[in-house]
Amino acid sequence: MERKLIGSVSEQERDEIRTLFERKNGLNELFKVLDAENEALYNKLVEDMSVTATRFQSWWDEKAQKYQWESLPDHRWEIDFDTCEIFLVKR
Amino acid sequence: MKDSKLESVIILTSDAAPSFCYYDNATKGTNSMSVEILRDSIEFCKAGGYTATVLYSAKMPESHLNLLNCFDHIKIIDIDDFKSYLFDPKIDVLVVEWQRMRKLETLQREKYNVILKMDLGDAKHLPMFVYQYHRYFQRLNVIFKNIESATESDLNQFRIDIEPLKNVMFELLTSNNAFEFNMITDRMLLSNVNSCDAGIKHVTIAPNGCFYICPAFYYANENDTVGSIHTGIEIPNKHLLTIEYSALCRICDSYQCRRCVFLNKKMTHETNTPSHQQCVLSHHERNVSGILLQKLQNKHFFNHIKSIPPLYYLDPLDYYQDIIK
Amino acid sequence: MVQEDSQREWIKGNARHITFIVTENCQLRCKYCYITGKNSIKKMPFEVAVKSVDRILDMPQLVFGNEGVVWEFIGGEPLMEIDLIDRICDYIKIKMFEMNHPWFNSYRISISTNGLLYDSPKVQRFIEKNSKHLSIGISIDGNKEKHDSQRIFPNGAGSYDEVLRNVKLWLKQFPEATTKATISHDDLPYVKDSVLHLWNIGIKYVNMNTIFEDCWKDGDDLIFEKQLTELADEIIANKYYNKFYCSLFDRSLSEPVRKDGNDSNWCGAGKMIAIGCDGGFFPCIRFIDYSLNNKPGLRIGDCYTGIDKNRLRPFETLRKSTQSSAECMNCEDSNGCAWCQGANYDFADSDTIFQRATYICKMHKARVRANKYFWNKLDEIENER
Repeated sequence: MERKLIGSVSEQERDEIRTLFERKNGLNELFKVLDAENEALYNKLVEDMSVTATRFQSWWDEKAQKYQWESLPDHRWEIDFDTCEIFLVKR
Repeated sequence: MKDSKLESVIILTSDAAPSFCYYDNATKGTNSMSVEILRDSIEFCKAGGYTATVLYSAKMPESHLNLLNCFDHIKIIDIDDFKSYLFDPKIDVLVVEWQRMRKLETLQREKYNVILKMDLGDAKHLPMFVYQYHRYFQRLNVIFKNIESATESDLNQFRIDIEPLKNVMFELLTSNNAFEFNMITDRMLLSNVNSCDAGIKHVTIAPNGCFYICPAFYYANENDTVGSIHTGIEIPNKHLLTIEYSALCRICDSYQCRRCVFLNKKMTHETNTPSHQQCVLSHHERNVSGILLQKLQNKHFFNHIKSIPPLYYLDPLDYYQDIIK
Repeated sequence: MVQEDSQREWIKGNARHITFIVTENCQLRCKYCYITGKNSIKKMPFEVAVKSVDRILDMPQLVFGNEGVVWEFIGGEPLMEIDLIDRICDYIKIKMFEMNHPWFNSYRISISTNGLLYDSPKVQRFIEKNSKHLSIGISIDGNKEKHDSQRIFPNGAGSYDEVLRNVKLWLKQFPEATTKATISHDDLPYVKDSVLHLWNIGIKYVNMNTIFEDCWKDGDDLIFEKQLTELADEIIANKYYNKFYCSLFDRSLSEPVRKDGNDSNWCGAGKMIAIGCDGGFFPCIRFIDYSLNNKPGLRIGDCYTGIDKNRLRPFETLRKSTQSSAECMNCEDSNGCAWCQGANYDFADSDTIFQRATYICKMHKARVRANKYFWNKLDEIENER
């Protein structure tokens, strides 16, 4: 089994994780750009990366708990942003 | 060939003739229409059966006056030149710049058709002006010269400035001192849009013998011609000048708005699209008319007129976007 | 026919498009290109880009009401200015983050290129750096005959071989990439083979359209129809409809026109902003002077003073019904009939955007006939099963 449908989330929940996902990507790409000499902005970025990563993980933990999603070793969950479906995918 | 919808022709005898509308006549020099072009213009009107409105400059040559004296037309004359020409107050029109409005006091005790040109910022003087000078008016058209530069704050101030007009006009309309006032009474009396219809019902012949949609187009760009007396009138995409092809105007009930296609072109680049300033201004006028009508009807005046309901918007674009979705 | 990828993806097209014209220069002289004013002089100074970004990020009327933004880079050939694009993108990211701007959580970067510089180290570094937000479209028009008949260097040589080399790399990096191919009079006989060729080299999603200019000759519609019906036969025989997409086939074209049907505007002019090299704001690239042959550029503002909302008002009221003739409004083949607002403006008899150019009329009708053939045949086969 490579990819198995295990559940879905509401559109509002989908929007939450999509925003966090986009922010995570944005922060990571900004990290490649920002000069550490710009101390204030650099510190803001580092802090934001930490907060966003935590919120991102919390979303998955909370939803997994709420919907009782199946999990397996060496697998991770993925969301299809178009359909709101959640898949269990082999790493 | 006769244009089926064309009703009248404006003959601009000189670049220095008074501006009676939303354009500035200071962009040109002092070129005057030759007597030959004037004669051809008169012939054009006669051949087509068009009524003529002639814009008079300060000093018209004798040759021109001789031609015009034998031809029925409406004169538009600056108040400064009033005494130089024969003037019929019933049909002719006086142009008065706000700075010279006291000149009205030099007129004989008759009622006149007056076009008053003023800056938006002077609107605060209108209520008192109307109260003091109403006896001179058969009809008063107020033209605001600087609509295009009006900010949101100017437009809001305009709303505040004209609000007392409802009380002034109430008093005049209920005391046998009625006169037509474009900003206030037109909306009460009209049941559809009172378009200027430049290019449709009237065109302008400029001193160079060319046709323009209206004098404003001539003053803005002399190359913006739509034909000449010799070649005839040809207006490409003429339908865009009509209300049917204006998505905003055709859903609007500020019927007193003149739908100035020149201002539209100047501000939005399209003759069929009014600017935000034009729309808001017209709606402020409309709303004052609505409140005045309500006051009058409460006292049993004008009960035969359909009331003017309050609207939730000042710009029909907001309404358009709501109904189009 | 599978659905076009761009229709399935990211916030379903509900994004504001901001297009930077970073240069008016290009290595190619494509025969059909509407940008007739190419030159090596005009490129966007970085300071103009900065002012534009600052201005746009600070305009709530642009930001709200959309779910995100696509920062587009176009030319001329934008990759000739990859250093500038890189600097602008860095600035955008930093600025959005600094401002806590809602678009930081919802942006994409998009580049439309002729592909010639795609494999250069600088471009490759840019792709790597922006991989999570970047999409790149390479224009490849079809097979070598078609591509080389139009997309040529100033010396007349075709660009196909050089582009194809980079298309392979491009598809490796963007497997779901789409191309936008253009059809004009000269290359009509290659339409069928070109679509098949593009699918064959791995481009699953092919957007193709006929140009809006007055280039069509008598009989072109019949050649086009023949090309499309032959393509339809190939698609059905090989069941390509399960794997590939080609915009020339759309079921709605085979259906009757609804009298109360869609009255919306075909194009998004006025909803997007194109920024010229000098910082002028335009309703789309087709309203910039270098794209126009008969009319002056139509500005809606600039990076120094912002947008003149009055200039946008006509675009807000553009519908099918406000710019079409009675013939177009009553046309039984009008489903999917396209227009380009900028081309309409350029070709209009007066200085207006409210006159729809109809040079493509016969070509569209040919496409409708081919679509009826294709979808009827496909339905018959489906029904037999």
